[in-house]
Amino acid sequence: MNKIKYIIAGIIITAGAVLTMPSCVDFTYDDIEPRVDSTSINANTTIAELKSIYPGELYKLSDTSFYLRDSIIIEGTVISDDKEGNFYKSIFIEDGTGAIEVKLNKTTLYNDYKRGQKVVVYCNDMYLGDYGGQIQLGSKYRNNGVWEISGLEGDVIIKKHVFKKGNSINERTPLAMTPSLLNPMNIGRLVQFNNTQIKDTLSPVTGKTYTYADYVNKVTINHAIITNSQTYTSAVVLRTSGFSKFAGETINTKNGTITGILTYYNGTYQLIVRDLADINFTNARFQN
Amino acid sequence: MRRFLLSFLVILTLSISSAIAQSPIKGTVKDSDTGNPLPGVTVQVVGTNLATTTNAKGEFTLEGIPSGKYVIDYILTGFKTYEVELEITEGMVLPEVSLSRSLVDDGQNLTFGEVTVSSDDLESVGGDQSISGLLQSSQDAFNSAVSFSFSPARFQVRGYDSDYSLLYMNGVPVNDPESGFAAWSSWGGLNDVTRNRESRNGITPADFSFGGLGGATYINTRASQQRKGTRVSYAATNRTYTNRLMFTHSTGLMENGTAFTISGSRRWANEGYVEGTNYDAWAYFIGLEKKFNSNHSVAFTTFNAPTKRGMQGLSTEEAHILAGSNFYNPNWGFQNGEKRNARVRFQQEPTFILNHFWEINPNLKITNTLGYSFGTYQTTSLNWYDAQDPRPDYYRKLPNYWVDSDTIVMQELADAFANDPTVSQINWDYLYQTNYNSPDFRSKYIVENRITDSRQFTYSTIATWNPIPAMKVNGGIDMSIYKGRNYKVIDDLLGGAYWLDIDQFIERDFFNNPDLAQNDLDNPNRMVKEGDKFGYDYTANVNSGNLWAVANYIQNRFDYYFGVNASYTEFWRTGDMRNGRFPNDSKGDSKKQQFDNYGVKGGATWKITGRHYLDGNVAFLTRAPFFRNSYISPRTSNFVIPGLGSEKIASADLNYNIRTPYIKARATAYYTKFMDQTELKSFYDDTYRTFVNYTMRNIDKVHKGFEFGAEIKVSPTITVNAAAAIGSYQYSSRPLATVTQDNLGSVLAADQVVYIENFYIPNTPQTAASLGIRYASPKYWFFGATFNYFNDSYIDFAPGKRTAEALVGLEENDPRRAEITRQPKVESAYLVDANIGKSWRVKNYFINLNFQVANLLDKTDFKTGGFEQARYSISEQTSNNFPPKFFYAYGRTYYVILGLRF
Repeated sequence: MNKIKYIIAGIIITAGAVLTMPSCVDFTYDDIEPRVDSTSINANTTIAELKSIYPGELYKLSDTSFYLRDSIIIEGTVISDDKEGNFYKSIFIEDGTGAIEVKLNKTTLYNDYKRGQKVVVYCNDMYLGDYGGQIQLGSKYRNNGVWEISGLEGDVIIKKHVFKKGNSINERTPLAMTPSLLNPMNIGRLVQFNNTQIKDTLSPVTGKTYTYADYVNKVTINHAIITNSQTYTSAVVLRTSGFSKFAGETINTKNGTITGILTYYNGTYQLIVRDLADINFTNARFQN
Repeated sequence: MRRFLLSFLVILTLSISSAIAQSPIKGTVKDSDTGNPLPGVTVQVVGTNLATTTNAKGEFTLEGIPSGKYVIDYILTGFKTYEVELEITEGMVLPEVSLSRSLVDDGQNLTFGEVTVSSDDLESVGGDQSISGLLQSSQDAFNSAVSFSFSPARFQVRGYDSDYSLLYMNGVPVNDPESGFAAWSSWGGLNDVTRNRESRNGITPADFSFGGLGGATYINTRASQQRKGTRVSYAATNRTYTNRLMFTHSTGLMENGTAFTISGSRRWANEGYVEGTNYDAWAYFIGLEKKFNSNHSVAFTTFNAPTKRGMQGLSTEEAHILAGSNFYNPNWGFQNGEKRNARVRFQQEPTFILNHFWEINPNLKITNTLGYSFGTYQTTSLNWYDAQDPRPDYYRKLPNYWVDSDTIVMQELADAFANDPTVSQINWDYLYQTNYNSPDFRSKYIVENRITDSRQFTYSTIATWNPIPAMKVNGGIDMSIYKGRNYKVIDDLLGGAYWLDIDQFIERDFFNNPDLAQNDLDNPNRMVKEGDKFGYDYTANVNSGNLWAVANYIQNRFDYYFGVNASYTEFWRTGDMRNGRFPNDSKGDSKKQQFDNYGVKGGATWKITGRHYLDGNVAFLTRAPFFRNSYISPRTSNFVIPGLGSEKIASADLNYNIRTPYIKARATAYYTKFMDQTELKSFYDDTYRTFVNYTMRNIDKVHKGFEFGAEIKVSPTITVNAAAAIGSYQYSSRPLATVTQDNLGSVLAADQVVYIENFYIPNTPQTAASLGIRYASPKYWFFGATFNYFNDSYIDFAPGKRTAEALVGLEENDPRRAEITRQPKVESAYLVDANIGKSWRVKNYFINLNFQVANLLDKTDFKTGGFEQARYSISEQTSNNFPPKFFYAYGRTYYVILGLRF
């Protein structure tokens, strides 16, 4: 009988205690503080050295024993920008010796790697490959049974290889192009052509001024560019993705300075701008 | 319909003129322990539609029983049901009955009606897969099995959606006018005061309603009918919540004619059964009743159950395998070391009900009710702008997406998902840092809160009238005015400074036309901050009126009834934002949609003997569509779906009942045909590369099957329960689909034939059975175990895959055809439950301790349903990247409850 009384008293006391105790289920959270991602790893290889290793076919970078290093490590400044959609799943990084396209299988990379951000790439287990003769750094995937260069497979793999260094933004100065600088050593670099204009401005089909790309059908278009001060032996084209936000804009038909990433595909040098601010055409055209 | 109304009025008038005085049958019920009168006891004449409830003095009267032999049940939750067979004559006073307390005092806790998962809102418009509350375990063995044994398997009685069951709280219809869902969660945690219920199966007639196709339930919380006394209980469990504390006190009807009931509870968990699901639910209830004299009583009831909880999200088999759990929850991630759930639901609906109970004379009773409620229903969700999908189980983040990569890479991805919570869960740190790094701190990631604020006013009258002894007429009228404002606000900018209120998909596709991307064209490019409305803002207006009557005619051998109802429903949308895509069709009042509906039903009972009876019911009814399924894209525009109209339903059932002292059983066969239904789904379509709204019309369905339930007393201490449902719920037509682009409203495909004839109604087992045994010791303890079996459950299907367009180019005998079109079925399963309990009495204190274990064998791979992701690529003719997602029943869970009553 006493036992029962204790039980009853116990229930009432417990009930009272539980009801009066403060709310313990938490639905509020403190903000996470801003933080700077910065690696302390240093480069041991220049980008030009890395590109020189490429044997002309897909090549895995773990076979580096002759370097007596644990990995090839490069460091460069991001010069590309996918915010306007003209770059897709890759960043171009440049050091004093050259530049390379690092393929990352991820979109909206500008959220992570702004122009001018310094990054370090730990290359062990990555692959070198090429697309139309332009060397790329990335991973590999099987395309209809054939291994080809591809992007690093999402954040999990990317964060094993690509590290931000510091949080200061120092954009690189573009390389002023001359005919002699238009060579494979400079593929991938941020370059600038002066006194330049788009060669053909009117579509023979529609009779209207061209747009940068085919926005409706999402087709990439090359427009030849010419300069009136230099004579380039190879053709150079302004290449714009049909997915870029400015694809549907009418081209700037004037003359001036154009900045972009120098890329290469099977004998053609291609200039890819990051946004329309890279096209600074304000002068009158010269006669083609 | 007018003709039905007319005949109803004629019957009414004739009946009034023939009204004569008569002598009802009377009786009283007491509590065997205390000798106090027991209010709220349901007194049911078995085999008839005659039932009543005892008043505050434990008294009852029953009108209109012809002389004869009957079985009478006295039912009150928490007490053992008393059953007696009597030879009844007119005006007789029945012997006084004393009910003794049942050992399982808190049987309702056995129900599992709180599993709520939220899938991505874009996958299905309903968004939620919630199991509504269940039928009370009434005296029907089959219904007990549904409540206690079948609910973990998402069993739906006869395969009907929950909106076909009508729910009343003290006379107020409480199904949500916008969606039709029964609002059980509005009084979650108020189990003590909501236990007086009256339920009807299927289309059988009820006293309080014309009834829905799937039955009707009336919850009666009148203070005078609440059991006098105080109750305190504490429960510990490991389900959606881990602790429950409940307190209730009722005065009973006091000398001065008033009765007062108060109840409150809290249910909470820092983490429920599923990881990252926290839970905090409070509830209060206040009931007052004043009895002025024997003719008039007035009752006021108010209650609210504010509930906040982190939701469980569904994922794919691949993610489950990687995470090592079928209860993997992609909704949460660590924030400063704490688990933060991105999908938090908050809901509450303060409700006020005023009743006037008016007994005009012994043969005519009228209950008038006014109800008002204002509720809010909020669900948070991540949103993002031009940034990577933050959901950890997004298909591009799982190894299978990378099948063409190096196997080493796939292994690394799998290892990371298995071991690194920044990979397998939401990476809040990444979201914050991305916002901090965004130019001028424009948030790339936010948590938004999608809100529905509702207000509803209801009025109802329910009358019970015995014009002549052999006739009982129930009838009533109810009206409802509802406004539901739907909008979203910024809940958390996650470190950023603002969010730009534009539609990013439109911005991407129509960069040249910035007006088009505006969600609020009158305030373009608005920078919104925390708490600001954005995205969409509209009000759902739903008004309805309903008139019904059921006349019962009672004879010695046969009872008949006939019922009609007529209703009017109107709804329209009021836009509060001018949307850039629909500048002329988004703001202000839309056109009113109006529907006249009716229903007729009838049936007969053949009382073969007082212990065997056979009854049959038939019904034909039409039903207006619900607001939520009627607009193609209610968030942005006024357009209704093609073919919007009322659905038609024909239904019949035949029941055989047996009641002997040793066996109570029911066997039922039923057949229901649904015609001209419409359905709406919204999802991302890979073929059109845009969000689409997929509407289907001309949907017909046939539900048919058998139900069986029996309770067999093998000995005074041992009871065996058996129940089985064998059904076939199938589509019986080939619906026509219209596909519209969500953000532009343009029609992408019209009148696409969807080849789903003979597909199964998803997400309910079409076969379910249970067998239970229970030992009740005379020394106040008991033990029971139940074995349950489920089969023939199919998952919800993506209609777009069942079209000719989806199969273009595939040869007749290409095996991929079958692979694409077949409807996936989940494996059969069995579950074992057990419970044990004891109770003590010390003077007037009652203590009970119950311990229940559900899924005793800890079967964690029991799929209770699921849905196909609608993303399907016609060009690749595969949805391999978007495999189905499944619901799983919880593994082994327990529920311990300690209660004290005095």
